[in-house]
Amino acid sequence: MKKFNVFVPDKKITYLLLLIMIIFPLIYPIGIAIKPSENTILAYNYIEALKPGSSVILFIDFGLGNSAELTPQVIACLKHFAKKDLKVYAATQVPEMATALETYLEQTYGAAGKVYGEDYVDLGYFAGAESALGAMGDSLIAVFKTDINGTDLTTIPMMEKIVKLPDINVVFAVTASGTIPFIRQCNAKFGMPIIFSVNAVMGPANVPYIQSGQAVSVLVGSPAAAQYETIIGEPGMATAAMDAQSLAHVVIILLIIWGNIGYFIEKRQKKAEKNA
Amino acid sequence: MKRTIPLIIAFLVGMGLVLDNFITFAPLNTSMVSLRSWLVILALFSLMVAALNLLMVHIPRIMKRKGTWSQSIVLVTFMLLTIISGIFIGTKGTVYQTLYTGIMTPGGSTVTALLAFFIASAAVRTFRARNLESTLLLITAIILMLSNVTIGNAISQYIPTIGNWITNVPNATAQRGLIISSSLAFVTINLRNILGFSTQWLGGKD
Repeated sequence: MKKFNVFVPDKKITYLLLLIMIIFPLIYPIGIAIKPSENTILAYNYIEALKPGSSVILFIDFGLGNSAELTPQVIACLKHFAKKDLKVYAATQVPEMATALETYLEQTYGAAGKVYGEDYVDLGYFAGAESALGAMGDSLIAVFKTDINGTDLTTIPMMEKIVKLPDINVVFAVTASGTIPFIRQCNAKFGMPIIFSVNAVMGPANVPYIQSGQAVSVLVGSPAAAQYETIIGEPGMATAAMDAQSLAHVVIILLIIWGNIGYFIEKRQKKAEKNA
Repeated sequence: MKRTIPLIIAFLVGMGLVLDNFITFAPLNTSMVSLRSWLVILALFSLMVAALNLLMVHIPRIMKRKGTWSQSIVLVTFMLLTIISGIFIGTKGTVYQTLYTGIMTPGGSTVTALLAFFIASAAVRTFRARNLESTLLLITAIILMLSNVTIGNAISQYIPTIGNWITNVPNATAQRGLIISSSLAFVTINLRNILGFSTQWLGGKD
């Protein structure tokens, strides 16, 4: 039988503690203050400085698995775009996200009373990943013949002045797979400003792009979404989840510290036994 | 010939796309524009091939009742149901929406959410300050875990400041080195493919 060690908690205990600490604040929110980070402020200020009528292309490059982490960022930013009267061209390179993209636009632009085809357009799914981004640099119609509803792009009012990717003012890429294709095809080639929204694990790897000026900012995970919701004054899904995430992190840290205390006690005992 | 012709095509296409970035020469630029849109069409075909391949793997498995054939039934049934409902009823139809919001969305999120529990359990069981390096890693991890959530700032305003410094200075320095070296490797690999020094993509050996 496995020897019981109080300092190395069983997996089930860790899971149970985490579960309690995640569920509890979701039911009874603690309301820990949310302070926007430098990167979130950078992204917000950049959007805020755009003139009404400026255009943004939204790329959805994550699957449903990352939806819980990245959807709140998409919603918060789209709400801000709508407030600023920005024209949004939305597309996804993940087939399963075409349906989700329609919902995002309905929840934000649709709910704000914006007109489809004049204020926002859903270009739907495109295949070819980076090759397609390269082709968009030549012509958007070469990649998207129609919008998600099958309407010919040439008949959509918003497409009158937009022929190719660099005709659009800003790229907003929400990705869980990689930022490099966007850097190469949008910024390096055409000098387009890019705001990235990535999941938490990708955050540190993308910091150099802000410092080099290749990206305006990188919004990282749910905390960035909660901060964005706070700045625009529209608390949503991410704000609600922040207390849960905070407490889950604290539980993990406490368990790690607890495990280390046990490790040092054990080490000292072994040393004492050896000396005896 | 079976190898020479693909190598010549790869050389011409690769060099054409590289030169297109640096030279303004109408015939070259126009032909590269066409080529880039062909790539999109090719990608769409590969999607169709992938779907057909999936059926060709799983249908014989079901017919012969081999291995995990019961799971193959679930896969094929839902794949066909999603395709048929999407094409004939439309993606806004009840069947497609039920499959999407009732099964795909919660399923995808659940599988990823489970990772949080596995990672937490693994960290708790293995993160030990055994030597100087692991102690530094442990301290850095704790600071970053706290600085990335709201409670970090609630405990002390210095936690986010230290977290930002770790991310923007030591982390960014290391990441920059990684990005530059991996980019150089990427250029080298692609040049080898274009110039025909590497033929692995043709099924050959380097």
